[in-house]
Amino acid sequence: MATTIPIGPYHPLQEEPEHYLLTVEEEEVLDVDVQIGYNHRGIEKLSEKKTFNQVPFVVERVCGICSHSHPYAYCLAVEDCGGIEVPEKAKYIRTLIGELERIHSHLLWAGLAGHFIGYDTVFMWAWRYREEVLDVLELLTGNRNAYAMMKPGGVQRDIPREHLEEARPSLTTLKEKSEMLYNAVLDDPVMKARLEGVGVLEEEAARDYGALGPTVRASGIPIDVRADYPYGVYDELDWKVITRDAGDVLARVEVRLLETLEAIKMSEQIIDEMPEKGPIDSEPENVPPGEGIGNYEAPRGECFHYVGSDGSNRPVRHKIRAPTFMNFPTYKATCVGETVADATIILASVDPCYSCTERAISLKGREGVDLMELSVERTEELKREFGLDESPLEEVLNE
Amino acid sequence: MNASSFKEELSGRFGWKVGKTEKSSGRLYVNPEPEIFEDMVEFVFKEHGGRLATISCVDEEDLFRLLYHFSLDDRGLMVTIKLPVKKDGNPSTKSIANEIPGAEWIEREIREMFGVDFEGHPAKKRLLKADSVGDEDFPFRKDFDVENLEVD
Repeated sequence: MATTIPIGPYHPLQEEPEHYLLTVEEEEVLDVDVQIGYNHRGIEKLSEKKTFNQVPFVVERVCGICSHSHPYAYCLAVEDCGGIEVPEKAKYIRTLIGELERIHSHLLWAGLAGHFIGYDTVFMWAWRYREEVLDVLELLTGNRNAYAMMKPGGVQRDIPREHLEEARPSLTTLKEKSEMLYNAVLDDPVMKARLEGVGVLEEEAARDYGALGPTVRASGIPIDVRADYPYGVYDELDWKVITRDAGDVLARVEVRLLETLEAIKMSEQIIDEMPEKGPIDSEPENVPPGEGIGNYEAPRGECFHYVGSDGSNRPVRHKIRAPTFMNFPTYKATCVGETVADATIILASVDPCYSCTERAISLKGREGVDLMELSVERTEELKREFGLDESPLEEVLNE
Repeated sequence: MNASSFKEELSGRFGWKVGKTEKSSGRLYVNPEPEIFEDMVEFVFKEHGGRLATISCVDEEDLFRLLYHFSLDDRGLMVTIKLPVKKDGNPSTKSIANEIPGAEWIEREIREMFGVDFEGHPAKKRLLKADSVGDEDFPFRKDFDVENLEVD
């Protein structure tokens, strides 16, 4: 007899809210249904109310992990629409941040994947070494996440040479540690037993669903926006598109870990070759009427932005499509027929990012109220609820 | 160059019905006659391995314009096929989700957010909209009143 197992919308194993309904018979998964939308913040709509130069800050908040990818894709769309040139040095800076972001995103996923299959050593290793790249990002941009580097026509800030040099030792450490992680994972018979042949995405299904990024490259399809639509300085760097043919979860692990190594290699080349001087911004004055498309290879696959302009200073239409929106529906091809125990790692193996997929904050009737203000209000409310009028320390002192 | 050569291929297959096109480096926008729309989608998807990147819906004054973005990855060319959908009455068009499974979620999103119906869609149910938003409220339409939206 078939049974339905609901998972979510809030569940300790999930990092974001989503609701799955697994229909199972004994251990076998017969069907999966998904309900998302718990994170919808209406960013596409919000974006139409902002000027072209403000939008990067909005779309940077589409996703906390790909906080460089969305602004980059948006800027590519605006530059495509207006035929705006980007100075060479700005391209180097953009590409560098993009690759560092890929390293941190892939290591984050590797850790989560380890956690999902109960292999917490991998989780702790991956996340420990991920700190290294977050420190580099903080050094170069001022932030561990949400770097605020992008603007149409260039970048917001220059990176001084001494900071680039300071980042080098970290990249060397990262390289050693990522190699170690790769060997440890691929050598481990437990990982093989657990992940090999699990959740296979066949090449044809991958094409039908329009799957992207590491998910599709692990099914033997060599598509990568960095190679197909070269932006930034990718055509000047020595790197290769990583593919694997197996299409299973293990192949997706392998592709991501090898891409991490490629990203480290590219970051080192960029530091070597970055021009010392030159403008970082072409300072475009306006965006002419028209339309533009920006596609960017985010860590999870192609990030797609469409921008329509009517010649005013705001986009009339801004469509955002995150890679998970295309990758996630492949669960229909990969989960059915597998066991319940494997379903979690299969669902996680596309590296789903719901915040991105939904892009929508409910502030209805409260427009313009600062989040900070809301947070303070909520704290006050809680204080009243628990009868905490003054700070605990003061209370002790007053006794 | 890519855009020009692919435009030739489209003209070779569909003649004048390809309609007005615009091209730039790596981009081709096509406005086909609505009667050949499905054939053109099939031509790009099946014969040229076009990957459906997404569908953008644009709310223009008296119509919705659906932009079907297909990426020909091996040529580095993004082909956008435009389809106007009349706004009055019940805006609707045929679903392509039965031929291209990747379109299923995309069409569901547009149906919820813009109220464009996709005939023959295999799963017409909610994906994203909160329960408190009505079936006839379409948040991404230009005339949608964000200020007075009720929330839970």
